[in-house]
Amino acid sequence: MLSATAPTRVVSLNLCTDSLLLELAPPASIASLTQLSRNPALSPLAERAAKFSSNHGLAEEVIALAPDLVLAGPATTATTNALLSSLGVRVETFGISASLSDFERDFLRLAALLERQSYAAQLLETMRRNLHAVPRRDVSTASALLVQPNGYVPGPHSLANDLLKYAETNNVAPALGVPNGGFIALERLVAAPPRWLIISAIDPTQPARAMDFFSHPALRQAMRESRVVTLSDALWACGGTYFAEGVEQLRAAIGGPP
Amino acid sequence: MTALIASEFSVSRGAHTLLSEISCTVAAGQLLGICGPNGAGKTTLLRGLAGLLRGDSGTVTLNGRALHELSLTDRARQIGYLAQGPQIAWPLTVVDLVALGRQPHRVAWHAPTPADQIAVERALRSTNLEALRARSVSQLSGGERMRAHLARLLAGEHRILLLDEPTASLDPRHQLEVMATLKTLADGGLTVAVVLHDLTLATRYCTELLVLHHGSVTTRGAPALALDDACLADVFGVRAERVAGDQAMVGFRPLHES
Amino acid sequence: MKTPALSWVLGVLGGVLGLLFVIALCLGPITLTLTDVARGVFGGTGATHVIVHEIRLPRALLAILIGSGLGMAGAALQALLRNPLAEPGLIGVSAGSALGAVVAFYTGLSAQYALALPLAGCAGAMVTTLILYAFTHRTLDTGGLILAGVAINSLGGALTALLLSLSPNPYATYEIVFWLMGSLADRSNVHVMLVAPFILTGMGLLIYAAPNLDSLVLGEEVAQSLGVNLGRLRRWVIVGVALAVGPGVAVAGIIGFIGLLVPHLLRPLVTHRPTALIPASALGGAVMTLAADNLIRLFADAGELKLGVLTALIGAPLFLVIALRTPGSRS
Repeated sequence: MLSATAPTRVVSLNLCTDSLLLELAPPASIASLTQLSRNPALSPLAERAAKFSSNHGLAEEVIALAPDLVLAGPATTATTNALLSSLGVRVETFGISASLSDFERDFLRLAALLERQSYAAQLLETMRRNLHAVPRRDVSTASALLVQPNGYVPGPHSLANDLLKYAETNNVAPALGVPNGGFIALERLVAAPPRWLIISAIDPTQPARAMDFFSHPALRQAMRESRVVTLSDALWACGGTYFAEGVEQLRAAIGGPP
Repeated sequence: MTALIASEFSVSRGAHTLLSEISCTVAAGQLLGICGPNGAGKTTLLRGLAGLLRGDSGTVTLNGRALHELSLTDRARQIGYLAQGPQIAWPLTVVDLVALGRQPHRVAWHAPTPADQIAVERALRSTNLEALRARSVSQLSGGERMRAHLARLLAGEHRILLLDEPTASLDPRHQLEVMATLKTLADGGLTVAVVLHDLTLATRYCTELLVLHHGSVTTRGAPALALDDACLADVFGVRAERVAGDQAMVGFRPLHES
Repeated sequence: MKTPALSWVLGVLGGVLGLLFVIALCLGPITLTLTDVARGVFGGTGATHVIVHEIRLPRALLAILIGSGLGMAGAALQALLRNPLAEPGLIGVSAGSALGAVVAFYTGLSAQYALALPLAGCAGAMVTTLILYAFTHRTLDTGGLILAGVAINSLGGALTALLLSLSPNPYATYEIVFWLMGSLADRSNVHVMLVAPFILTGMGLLIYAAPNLDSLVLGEEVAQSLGVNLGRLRRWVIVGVALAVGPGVAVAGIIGFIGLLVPHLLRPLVTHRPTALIPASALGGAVMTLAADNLIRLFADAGELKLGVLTALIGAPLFLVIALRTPGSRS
């Protein structure tokens, strides 16, 4: 049911705002999403996203679509924003979510813009229920580290950390020399390997020098008693109400309570 | 008898004929001067005699064997070559430069033999460079540098010496010294051929002259006969001033003076 | 001809290299004692062994292999092209290797055939050296050589960046930094095995060519008259350089200026003669590269600097000095 004052043509210029829009907006009001959302390696909602027309984040495309609301991300340049604003287009900029609560805040903010607050509240309620549905266990037995290509470890204030937290694992990044995130030294990983190593990549199958880190013999040897789980970034990088499914997937990979 | 014989030797570059069917003999005990105006083919002939370029037709033989049938080392041991305006890429010391003349005789990576050392000393002595042996070549005067290159040539103890303009850019005294040295070597039984621009030097020191013009031999013989007035006029476009009783010329005049 | 100076220089360089090697094995974020290190090298199991044997050892060995290859290639190129500014980085040989390696890597070829990576590096090096030689060997003109090198470097870098941006791999554009700036971080014994045969063969070829390169100082004609087979010499050197440089770049990115600095620093000590300078530059290159890498790891907590950046910081100013002092560069 559309309100008379809600936006009817919304364009999204950012992968994560694409996800927000797909979850919240009535399909008729979505004018365009970014090209990136069509890639299943980048978004779990790729199938849905394919039904809409796509853009490359260019101001020209936006103007041609004549939207009444544009959702921009932190990567959308200030020039584009300024240009659009000066043409009388309404631009709402969303930052990067550094935690699940950040995501929830953004979710509700968009909901307010679209006048879908009650619907949003319902979805969030379901998500929280799913997240807490799993019985608690002792996290000390499940030491884990999430590593991205090139050996990059997200910091404590990140969606990745929330992922590990809700999956009932103990993020050992602080003990391995990267308390605030950063590139982990292979030696430290070898000296104190976590029980679970979660390799999170956009597309783990593509050849990339960045993935060399994971095929290093030293790592292989160190992880002989440990387990490696491969996860796609798409499951959690934008938050999304499907975050709970990502957590569930990780939990399933790690195994139930001992 | 060491004889270098060119027989119907021709060289062309594309459509341009550099040498056409040159036949000449360079015999032991002889100081052969090769003269001619610019572009006559003097350097090309010398290079052909040295085996540095192949002719399109005709042969160059050394003691009856075609030059190109000899191994590079054999040829290098018997024939010594000094290029026009000798270059040296790195500032070596005089003694190191002279020692390079021994390369055809040396075994790679082995220390110089006593024979090598004696040859180098002898070469330094005959060019009066003993005092300058440790000096860097770049610090020498033009005349000293030329002597150093000459010493390199002598150190090789070749039977045949081919030199291209060894007196160019030297002052008169050094020009005479170089030519006197070559004459002594020829008298001692070596086979020496020199490309010379300076006709005065050529007539004073050479035992035989070969005059080239447009890639062919115009005259050949003893200096006084080879460089008669007719030749000077036709080939060089000048008149000579001679001193009575001396076969050498002292100066030149334009053919037609007003 | 081994002058007393050469044996002495080689001995000192060898000693310094040995010391740096031990230091390299002792450096790292996990503190290990010398006994730990010794035990780790020669056997044992556990984290110490893995750290020393699988992480620190390959890194040190690669620094030595790649550094000696670069040093020797620089000395050989300078002798062949008769120019003190010739070195694999400046004249574009390394850029060609990087391009070859990127092609092999991002097409997935090297994932199927491990040898494809070092071979592609060699192929890239060979093509660029041939192009460069064709353009510049007739003249001793420094300006021409450097300009050709600039052109090849720009083209190589641009093509590398293009390929990376076209690659479906999302990290590719960030990896341009690795390829252009070079790094020995997180390399393994697999990489050592992959490059050692090629680099050692290349170095062997260059040593074999050294006596003939001695004669080349007098110019191509006179060298020929002294018995040098020019065509064969060129081939030896070009192939030798490609083998000594290509695989190193394929595995560690472009590390520049080693081939320029090392011969330049050693020339006053061992003379210009290639028979002395080429072997000495191998050791010198190994020393310089290992020292630079150790330096980087010493200050690693500040965020590890790329090896190529450090060598460029030292090398580029020195390059300027050498270039301005070279006759023929000012006209």
